[in-house]
Amino acid sequence: MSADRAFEVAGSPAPPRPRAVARLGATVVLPLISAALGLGAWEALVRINHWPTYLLPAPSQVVGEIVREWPLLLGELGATVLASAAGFVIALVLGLAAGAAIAGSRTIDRMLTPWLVIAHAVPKVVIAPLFLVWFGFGLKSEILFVVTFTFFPIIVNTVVGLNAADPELLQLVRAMGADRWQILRKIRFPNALPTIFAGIKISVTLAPVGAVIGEFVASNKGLGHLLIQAVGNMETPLAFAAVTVFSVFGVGVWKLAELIERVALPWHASQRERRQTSQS
Amino acid sequence: MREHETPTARRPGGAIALEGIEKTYRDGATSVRAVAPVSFAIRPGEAVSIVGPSGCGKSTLLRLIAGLDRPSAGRVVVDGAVVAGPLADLGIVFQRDLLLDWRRVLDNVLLPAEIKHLDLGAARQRATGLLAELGIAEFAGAYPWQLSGGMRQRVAIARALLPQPSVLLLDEPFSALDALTRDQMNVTLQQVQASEGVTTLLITHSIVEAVFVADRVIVMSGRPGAVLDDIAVEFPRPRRLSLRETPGFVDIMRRIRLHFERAGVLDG
Repeated sequence: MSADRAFEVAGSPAPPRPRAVARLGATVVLPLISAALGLGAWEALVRINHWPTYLLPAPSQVVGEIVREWPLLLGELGATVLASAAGFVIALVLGLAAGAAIAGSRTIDRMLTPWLVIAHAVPKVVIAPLFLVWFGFGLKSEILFVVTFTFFPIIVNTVVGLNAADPELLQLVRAMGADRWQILRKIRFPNALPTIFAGIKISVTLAPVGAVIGEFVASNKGLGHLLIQAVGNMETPLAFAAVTVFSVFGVGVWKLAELIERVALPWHASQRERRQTSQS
Repeated sequence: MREHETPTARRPGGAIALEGIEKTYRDGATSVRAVAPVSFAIRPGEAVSIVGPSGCGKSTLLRLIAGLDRPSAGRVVVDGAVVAGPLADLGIVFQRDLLLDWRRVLDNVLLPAEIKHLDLGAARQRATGLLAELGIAEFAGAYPWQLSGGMRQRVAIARALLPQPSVLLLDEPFSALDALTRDQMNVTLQQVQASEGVTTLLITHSIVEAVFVADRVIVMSGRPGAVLDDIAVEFPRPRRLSLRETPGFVDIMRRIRLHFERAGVLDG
């Protein structure tokens, strides 16, 4: 019998579990009820007050717009996804590499860290138009803006995570004869993964935001561009439809990052609690 | 006794000699003398306990023997060679088990084999055998967080013994465990020590633990640590916990306690 099994079968058998039903209620039904109440109030306010559609469309109008304009929305979402994903992957590679270099070398740390802090302090939205000047109109500017937007949480968390290894543990593996590369690969990096994932989860939700801001100023594609156009043309239902699709995409990206974290870090304290709760 | 193929052949050895060892820690203008001149020798395969009050330099001695620190004076000689850096042929267990949370038990035990580039197939067999010997074979696939404190320390001992070191150093490995678990760990340790034939040095606060596990007990004074007594413990092995109630065992404990009472560490 495996150890996992030994622990898992320690409790009583499963059949109908009132607790599981109650938990489902708490996590799914309650948010649905609050959403229905909120949307219902919104719908009622718009209809009772006869607010014009260009000012505030009712939820039913937004849903209708999403259904009607779905091909357009899907195409623009594709452009936003492409810029977000490309920018995020570049930021991830750069952030991990730079973080490892900073954590591994005091010289590199002293050379780079002050400039990184200064660069991070610059409000990135303000410099978005400069990207248009520097890199031209189109996908390249968008991707580079996403990189700028998402790079810092990854590098900061990588440095913090790599430097957080237990000194006594490092002493133990040095006594085993481990060299620097082995210590990085077998101790520092796996030990840093929860912290790095925390940075990734921040960055991955910033990526679509960065892409949309990039599309505001430097692109004729994507949800950001569609949103600007819709607002300019007083097509408020389409603007709301774009925002809704964008929000669903953002939530999806967050959930995907959570799923990857759960698969990659089954040993981490956050997952233990989840496992224990799901077994109780 | 060993049933499993070993990743490396045990190197004959494990003879340790401390020759006039002193250690003083300096921090700016202040200095603390942790260890007064200390000399003693440990024969290959011998189990020795060092018992003494807090701050007497026990752990410092262990670090000096392991080559993790350098003495201010004197020298440590292991198998005829002066220790000048971390010893390769060594297993260490600290008070904290220092298991890697992200590795399952078997993979934790295999860590030294990976670092030392040993044959992983043979190492896996050896690790499985050690886990069985330590009574935790069924938890090979568990994560450390799923184990009790005693089980975790068993894994740490298996990890230390995996590459068949000549010397096993234990720095208060059981001090965070409850009394019952600690008793059981003492029994397990002296069984494993005997079957592995490894030179063992146990640092402990516990007089009863020091006597039960060892062939010799070295009694140390308060800071700066110096050797007060060196007592042979000649009970046959394997030992049972009931040994602790025998007159001979009690006599040795009394002798050690008297040292601490005279030094003012214990009130009689």
